[in-house]
Amino acid sequence: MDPSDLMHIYKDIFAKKLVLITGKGGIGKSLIAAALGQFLAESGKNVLIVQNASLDQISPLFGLAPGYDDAVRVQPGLDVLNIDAIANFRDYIVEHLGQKRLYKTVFSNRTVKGLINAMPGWADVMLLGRLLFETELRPRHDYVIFDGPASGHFLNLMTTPDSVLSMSFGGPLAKETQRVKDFLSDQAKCTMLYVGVPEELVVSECLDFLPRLLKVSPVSVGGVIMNRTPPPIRLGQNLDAQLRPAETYAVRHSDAAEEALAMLAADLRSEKGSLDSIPMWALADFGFIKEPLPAGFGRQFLTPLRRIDRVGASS
Amino acid sequence: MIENKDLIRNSKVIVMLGAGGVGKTTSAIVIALAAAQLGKRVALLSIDPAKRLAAALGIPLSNDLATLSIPQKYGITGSVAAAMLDQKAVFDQMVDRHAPTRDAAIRIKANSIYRAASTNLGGPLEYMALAKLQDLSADARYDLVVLDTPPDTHALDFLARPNVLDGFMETRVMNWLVRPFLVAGRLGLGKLLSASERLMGGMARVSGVEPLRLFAEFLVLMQDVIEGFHKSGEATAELLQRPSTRFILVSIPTHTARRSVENITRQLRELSYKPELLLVNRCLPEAVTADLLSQEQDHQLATYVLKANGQREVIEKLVSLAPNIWRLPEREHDPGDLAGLMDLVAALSHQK
Repeated sequence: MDPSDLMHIYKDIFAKKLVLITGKGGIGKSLIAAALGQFLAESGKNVLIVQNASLDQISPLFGLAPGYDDAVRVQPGLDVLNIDAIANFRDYIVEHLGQKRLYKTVFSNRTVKGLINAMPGWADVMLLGRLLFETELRPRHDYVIFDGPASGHFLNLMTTPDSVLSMSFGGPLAKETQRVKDFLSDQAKCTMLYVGVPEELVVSECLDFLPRLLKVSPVSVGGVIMNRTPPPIRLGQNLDAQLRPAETYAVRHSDAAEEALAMLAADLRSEKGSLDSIPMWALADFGFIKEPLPAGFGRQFLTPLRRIDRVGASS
Repeated sequence: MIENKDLIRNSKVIVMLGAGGVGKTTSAIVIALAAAQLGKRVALLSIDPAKRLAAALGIPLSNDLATLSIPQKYGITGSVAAAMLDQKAVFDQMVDRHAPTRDAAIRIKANSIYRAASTNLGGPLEYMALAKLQDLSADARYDLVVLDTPPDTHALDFLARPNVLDGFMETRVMNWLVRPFLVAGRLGLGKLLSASERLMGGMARVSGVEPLRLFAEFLVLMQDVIEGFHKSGEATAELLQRPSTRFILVSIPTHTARRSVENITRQLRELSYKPELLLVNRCLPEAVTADLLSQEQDHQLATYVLKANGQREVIEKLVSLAPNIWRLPEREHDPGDLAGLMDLVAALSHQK
């Protein structure tokens, strides 16, 4: 595919202002967030990548030390923010509700901090609220990309608004929760990318996870990315006798990936309804990601090897 | 057969640590099987979010240990009993065990804070796993307990504070959070806020009163449960400090995973725990690496040459993290069954 088509290929994703990314742990979610951010920034857009992790894994991809709490500008047009639950809670009270004194007298109390962490759903609602804030209420960027937690935790995060609302709480928290839920449900503004790799275990997890996610999540799934698809190996005939160890390995590796992708396509074909309309792309395996990411990395990285067809064959 | 693996042989507790997606659960099972091959009777506690591995091994998703049936051909003289912990079930079990009466248990389970906490909260499962670790390490039926920790980088929180709810049992907290509600029960809720319980009123302005009332009820009801838990938390902290308790780090050879495992190691050392071993999963097999690095140019395999060089670079940086480093090869198929896992056990025996 022609790299200049990227805007076109991902047009449905880029039509939304908030892109949430999830998938199994360790399959390259942060790298995809960074690649998307870099590509959009290099296309003249202003982008914010939001993480909620114990370690900022995005700034180092751009050659900077991990950041905490405050947004780090990693390159022109691209900011990276790692949200800490407590700092986010402070921002919510102070900036959202305009209650600076209340925060100082009440919420800086150590015990209250502990409570915020222990109260189910609070930190999560405020994290989602922060995404709403950055995207809608005080938009300073054209795009917000959320490098979300791994599948299971992400599912919990997406069901949080409903769980909090079902506890029938009153007060600003309940109102905020409803507002967050309405925002996430807005298909014109928010979308989600699911990231996987072409491995049997990951694909079967994806096939199990996506229908469950679609059932409970207010955000719709805008695409599935199969990261690290190995290059097709074309070797001469009479392979077995001549193959070097690395060739044998590469052939098996690429065959296994093809099998996994076929499994994905076949299963999707049998899947009724909602999964049908989700576009799926295979991205190339880059072997190893060197840091800092060079200029133009995002464009190269995101250019799909191909689109995965649900007819069983890929084109 | 694993020889000279004193590290496994002399351990009574092994705690596996690593970021999500680096193969921690698989590694925990491989270490358990390796120990069983040395004749150990192993108890394996795992939190496997995929649950697929559990299915492949024929382990029920349960808090009770189930013994793996391992065909004789694998030459395992010991045994592995595994439990795949499920959060809600673990939580309910704890309540049933520690609640003073059956009625109290029913009321706790009906509390909506409890319901949310037991299904959604990340933390409790780790604490539960630690409580179970405590039970099992004292159980004469097992020589070794392998603990697989949760798949996120917050995993170390529980080592720092073996009892998360401790803070809430401090009298101070109980006083300001719970007592007003007990009083309010007699005086009516309006009095509570007008009595200007500063913190309470302040929080209620954001959250509404209901969540605070529920949380107070939750704490009152859970008091016995939490106290029972507190005791095991102290004992667990002592257990983790013993020399026969070993910490194994798990990673993969990428820069992102390296940063995670460096971060975990730093936190671990701050708590004065030392990692004994670093397992690096998903390495290119040695013969493949040697082959790739010996070729001048290879356009077909350029991606793999890049990978071999990159992996070598990362592993050189990882070496300083633990006194021992073992590399496990990436396999073209996931080790989704016992045969695949036993291959990895065999790969352990080739480590220097």
